[in-house]
Amino acid sequence: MDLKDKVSLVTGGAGGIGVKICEKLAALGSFVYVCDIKEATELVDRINAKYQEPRASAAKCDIANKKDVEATYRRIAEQRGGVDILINNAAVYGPSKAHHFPEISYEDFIKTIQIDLSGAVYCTLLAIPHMKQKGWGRIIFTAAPMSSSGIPSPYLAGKAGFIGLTKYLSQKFSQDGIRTFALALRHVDTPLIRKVIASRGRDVEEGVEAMHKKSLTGKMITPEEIADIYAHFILTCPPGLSGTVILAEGGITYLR
Amino acid sequence: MRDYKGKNCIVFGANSVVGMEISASLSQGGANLGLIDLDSYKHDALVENVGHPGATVAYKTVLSGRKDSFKEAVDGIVNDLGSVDYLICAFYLEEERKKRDPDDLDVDTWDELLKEWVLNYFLVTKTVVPYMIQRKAGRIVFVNTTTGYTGEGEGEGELTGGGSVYECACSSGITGMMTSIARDIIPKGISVNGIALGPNYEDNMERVIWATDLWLSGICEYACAQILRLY
Repeated sequence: MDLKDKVSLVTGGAGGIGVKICEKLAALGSFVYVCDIKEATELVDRINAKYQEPRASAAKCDIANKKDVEATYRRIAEQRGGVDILINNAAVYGPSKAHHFPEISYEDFIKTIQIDLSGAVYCTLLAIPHMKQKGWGRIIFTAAPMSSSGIPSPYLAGKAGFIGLTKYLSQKFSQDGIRTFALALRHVDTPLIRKVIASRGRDVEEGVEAMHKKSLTGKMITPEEIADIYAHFILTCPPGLSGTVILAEGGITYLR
Repeated sequence: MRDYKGKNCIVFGANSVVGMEISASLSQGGANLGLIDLDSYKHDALVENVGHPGATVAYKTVLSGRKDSFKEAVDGIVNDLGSVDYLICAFYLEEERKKRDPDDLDVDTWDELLKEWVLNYFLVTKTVVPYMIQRKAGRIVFVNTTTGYTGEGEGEGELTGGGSVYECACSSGITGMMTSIARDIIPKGISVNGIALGPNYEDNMERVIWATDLWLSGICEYACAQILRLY
């Protein structure tokens, strides 16, 4: 099976993990909307240059703003019919300072959870009618373990919120051919993690090395590996595995 | 029943079935109560039912998602009671569930529930915790549902949670938020633990009270970010 005729929407598509997911889906034949608040033209051009026909388009969108999300879905419906594969990948970590409780401000909490959780809910709810109509759909969440430590409360609320969503949607829409899956991650070898380390005033390379060592596998998961896992799920997921949440965090959560 | 004499407890969501039962139990144990809810419609009955002779019962309504309103309510209660030992977040959705269509996929409904449940839990906790930090002590209980774990969102059967897509997302979101908050404030002497209500919880209220007692009593002094799932 390949993904020709399938339309994908990848939120946070221009970020560290998102780029690899977009590239992978395009390589499998899907037309990919790179959904990001940042410019994604360079990535889109790079993907399109690889193939004879266009396989990507930028969908600049602030997913925290539901009007913006609705407009994006309207555009996709007009151009390509609708979204068959939704990757809810966008997230922000929260404020760089004062992100611990109770110092974190209510305004920062709202701003973060709107992107990290509400954005995914908007995208998901708007994707489902088309998926139901086609009798086929894949919804994936880049999540985090509910028990992650030292992570800002709105970020973890958003990421953990995906677990309930994944499980609910799998039960509710399984008969409509819609499969859901969440990958619960801790540390990923991305530019974001370097930014977080730097924001804490630490030497970035030392910090990255320490992160690698935290994992029982001796290395953090990479965006390429995440993209491979998502592709495997999209291509092969049997109905009985829909709603699965896989911890892919090197054994940190339960074994450390 | 445990002895809560002299303890001051704020219950957010006091109008809910679970909030009312917990409030009544704490009151029977001798606690002073500060009751908060979004609505005042059960105010008189609530104060009459849960208040025990000699105890103080203060009741405040708040505007959903409004931090100034929460601050005014909490400050008022602390002024009435003197301090806060316990916070119970017990806003619950039995009324919400009745009016939700399981096939509803409306983004506006999501905004409403996120505010009423997740944001208000955050707000009340953020407003109460500084008072607990001053005393380097406090215990917080988040009442939640098992739907965040199971995703069982519809139907009337015993194995279903009866909720919605919104409830499942909020429920697991609250678990994540609680975990993060717990780890941030346990070094300040404040414990945060949870109770996840399963289906038919109203018929098993004694288990809810038992779980509340467990978290408030300090028997499990070293428990942090733990959730008792009451299936």
